[in-house]
Amino acid sequence: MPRAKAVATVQRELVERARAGDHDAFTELVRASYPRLFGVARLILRDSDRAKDAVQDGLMQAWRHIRSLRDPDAWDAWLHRTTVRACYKVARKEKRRSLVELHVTPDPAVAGTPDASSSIAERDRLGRELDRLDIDRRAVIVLHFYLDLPLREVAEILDIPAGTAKSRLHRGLAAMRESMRAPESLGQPDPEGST
Amino acid sequence: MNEYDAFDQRVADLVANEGATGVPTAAVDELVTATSQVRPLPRWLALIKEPPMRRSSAVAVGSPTVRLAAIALSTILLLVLAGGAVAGAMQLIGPPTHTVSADGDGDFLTISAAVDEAQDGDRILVKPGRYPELVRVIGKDIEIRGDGPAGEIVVEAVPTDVAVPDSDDEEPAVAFYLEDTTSTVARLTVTGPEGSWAVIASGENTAPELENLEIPLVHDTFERGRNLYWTDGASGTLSDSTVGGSLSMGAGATPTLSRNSLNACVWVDGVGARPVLEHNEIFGCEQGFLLFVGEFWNESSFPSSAEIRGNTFRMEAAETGQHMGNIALIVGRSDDAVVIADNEFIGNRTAIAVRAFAKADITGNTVRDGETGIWIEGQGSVLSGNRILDNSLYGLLVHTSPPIEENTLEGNLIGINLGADAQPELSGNTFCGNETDVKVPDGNPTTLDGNEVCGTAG
Repeated sequence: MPRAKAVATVQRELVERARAGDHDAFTELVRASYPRLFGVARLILRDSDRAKDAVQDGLMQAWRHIRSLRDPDAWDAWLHRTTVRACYKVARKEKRRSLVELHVTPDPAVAGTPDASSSIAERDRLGRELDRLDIDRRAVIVLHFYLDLPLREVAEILDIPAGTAKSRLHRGLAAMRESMRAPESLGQPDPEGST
Repeated sequence: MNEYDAFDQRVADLVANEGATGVPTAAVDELVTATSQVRPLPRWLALIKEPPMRRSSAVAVGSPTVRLAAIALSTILLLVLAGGAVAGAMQLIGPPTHTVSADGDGDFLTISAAVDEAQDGDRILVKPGRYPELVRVIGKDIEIRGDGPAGEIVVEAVPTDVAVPDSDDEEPAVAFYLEDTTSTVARLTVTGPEGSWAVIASGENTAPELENLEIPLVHDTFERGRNLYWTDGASGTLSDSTVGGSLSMGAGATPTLSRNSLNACVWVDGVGARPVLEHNEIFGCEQGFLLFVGEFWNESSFPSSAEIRGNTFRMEAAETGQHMGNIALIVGRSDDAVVIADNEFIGNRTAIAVRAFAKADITGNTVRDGETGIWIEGQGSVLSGNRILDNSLYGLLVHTSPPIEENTLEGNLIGINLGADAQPELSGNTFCGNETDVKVPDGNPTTLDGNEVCGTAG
């Protein structure tokens, strides 16, 4: 995969320059990664404004601590880690139990794709079930499914044992599956709590 | 695609769709402006301020060790400055010192000659060189210390007339023979031909302090009793050393082994032996085990015991060894419960086996990424507070009925497999993500009441 290797090489060079204090290099890295990080934060925090705060905080921390990054090739994983940490910090500050209503704007790239597996209403329902999960389980699901990371890497980012990541994923999915089977009752809190 | 996979796909579609929407592009410009107004922290400060990470993390960002080292640096510098004057003064009133140099520019050419002359309390400094000799220290307490890089100060075992307990060797090659002494031997390399002994410590009044020694593996010899041998009630310490080959604790031996790197087999099979092993790294033995406590051939074989705390066991040659099934720690025969606490067992085929005539208190250990975690055959053991994770076959394989309390079993194929007669008390344990939490024989009344079960992997 020569293109992927070229992209990785360019990113590595940018990280090394940023690590040396080159803000322009850092800016390029931020512009490339911001949408992905915002997606992660939004899915974890279930709120666009809080996600924006988390990503801002996470990237500010990344810039301040960039000289602690020893391996430039670990940039993506490190960035995911700072973002998730920032999400947890935001969640702790504004802990609330109410469900959040998301305004989902269909992505033009996928709007025309027939969805054989679920209707729009069912997808909304699934989104609400994701809301109900506690942040620990939701973070594992987001990192595993949205970033397509293997569980071992998810565990590294969240600083938990691999077995714990595995169990949180299974428990989260099981909780969502069970809730989907029951008739929905909006406003009913998740017994395990949610943030 | 089954029901579970279909659901997972729906979740994946949901997050992919939601994650791609509503990115606030203006926020990027705000961020760029904000970061342009601050400077990155200096590397040493960034490492200190970086929150702690797991030791095994692949995200190469600082480490607790670096952080602690940075914080301690200023303290050490101050201590060095303050201690410099004190050290200088102490030299004037230090112990009588004899120097040994194979080149002839010391007081003696051989260590043995210096030992013969030394009195209790004397210090012998050994300069870089090769010293093929037997160093016998009997009945006096002295210090033998390398005066230079340990790798350049090599004491080499030679054929001797030493009567090695429990050995048939007629002319055993021995480097250090210690008896009736509490001497210190430090900062040397000790080697020798295949089958030689680096250090033999023998006798109840023998308690040497062995520090910062390098005892390399010779000819891949992991044979019992070679390299380091404590016997006949000997004690003392081995610390901060690197040892290859074999360490053996014979009758009544009670040394303390701390912070060593042991590419070796460790045999504890003398009657009444009870060593303490703490914070060592133990790996590499090719005899099918790493540490062996007590022979287990039959009920009348010799009982031994040990305290095994805070060590890391990693059997790298998982497929080698003709017998015993490749077990990191075997407790074969013990009258007193062997203490196995707060150790880490990583990637071993079987981590701990407690055989039929033995018992152990197994607490607070992490046993992970192997095939079988802990195998219990004997009565009288306790398993409490262990984390047993991601083993490809059994977390616990239990043939008797020990209390099994407050352990965490996650990610194993089978969390606990019970033998036909096993009816252990299971309480306060957590089972998560195992393919099967507990496999129970037909008619066995064991239940999971009083334990937390969070769901199977399937």
